[in-house]
Amino acid sequence: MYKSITVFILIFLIPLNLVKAQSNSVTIALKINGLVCNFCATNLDKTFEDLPEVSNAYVNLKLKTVLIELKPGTDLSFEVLKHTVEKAGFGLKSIERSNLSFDSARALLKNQSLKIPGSPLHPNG
Amino acid sequence: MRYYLILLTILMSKVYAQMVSAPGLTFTRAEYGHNFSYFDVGQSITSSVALGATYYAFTPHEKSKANAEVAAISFLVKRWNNEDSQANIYLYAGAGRGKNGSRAGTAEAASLQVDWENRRYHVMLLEQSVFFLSGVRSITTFHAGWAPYTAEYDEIAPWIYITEMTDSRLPDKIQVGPEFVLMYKGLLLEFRAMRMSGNSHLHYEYGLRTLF
Repeated sequence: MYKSITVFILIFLIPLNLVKAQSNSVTIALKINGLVCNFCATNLDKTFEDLPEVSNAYVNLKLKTVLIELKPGTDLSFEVLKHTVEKAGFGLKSIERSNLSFDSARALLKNQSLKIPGSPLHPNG
Repeated sequence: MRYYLILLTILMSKVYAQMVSAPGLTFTRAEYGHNFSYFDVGQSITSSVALGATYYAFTPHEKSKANAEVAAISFLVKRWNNEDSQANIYLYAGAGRGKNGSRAGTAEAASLQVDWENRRYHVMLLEQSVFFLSGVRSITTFHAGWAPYTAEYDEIAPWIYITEMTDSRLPDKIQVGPEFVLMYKGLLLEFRAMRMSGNSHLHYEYGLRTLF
């Protein structure tokens, strides 16, 4: 019993606190359709970096994912993110709001992790 | 043919694009070849329309040389964004001045580009025409490329192509050769060695594209 509680604390509670301590900004991962080449990546990278709410952007071609970090105190709705992707000439597949800091999520993507921890962001969400 | 292409582009109120990107981004494209060179620069005003200017030079080493400078509009007619691939149809048209042989005057340009790519393969068909007062010069280019490995956006990505080109001035001659491409973020460098059918000489050609 004690062992189970210890494992629970280690796996869930401590990482959650660490995540919160790492950053109070929001990290969002966007899966993109049509993201297949360097020029596609440049388009998306620069488009998101130009948004005033975005402090960091990272594009991963293998996972067709754009990772963005929002400035503290700012937010972007599903509709705004979808419009931004389509305005750059691409299709949006899904959006996840991550529990991880931008740097941690980027490290996971660079290691080709197929999914970063988070929850889906839906329209009007 | 000349008026058909111009009419086509006007009717579509969109014209072939060498490159159309996200709004606000600037692109340059330069290719130096033995028979055909061009340089274009432009900026995308929407995700499907770009404005810019192009300089064309045909057979600069021969008496039949021609060149033109045109203001141009590029249009992304259709894009298919799939999970693992992308396909595009672009149109482009331009108008300006040109000189074909010894005759100078107005010149118009029109192009069509169709391409498909995923992270390992890329095929592209590009038709570029310039309409001088004294005739049309057209270059048809077909690229088929393969990436030996898939690199990330912030890594150097190599591609190997087979490129085939035909010049309307020499319709029975085909230039074919291998092409080596390096990409890094918004920068692309290309080098190819082309050989014209019936000719043993190799012509080395170079290209540079940027997006920023």
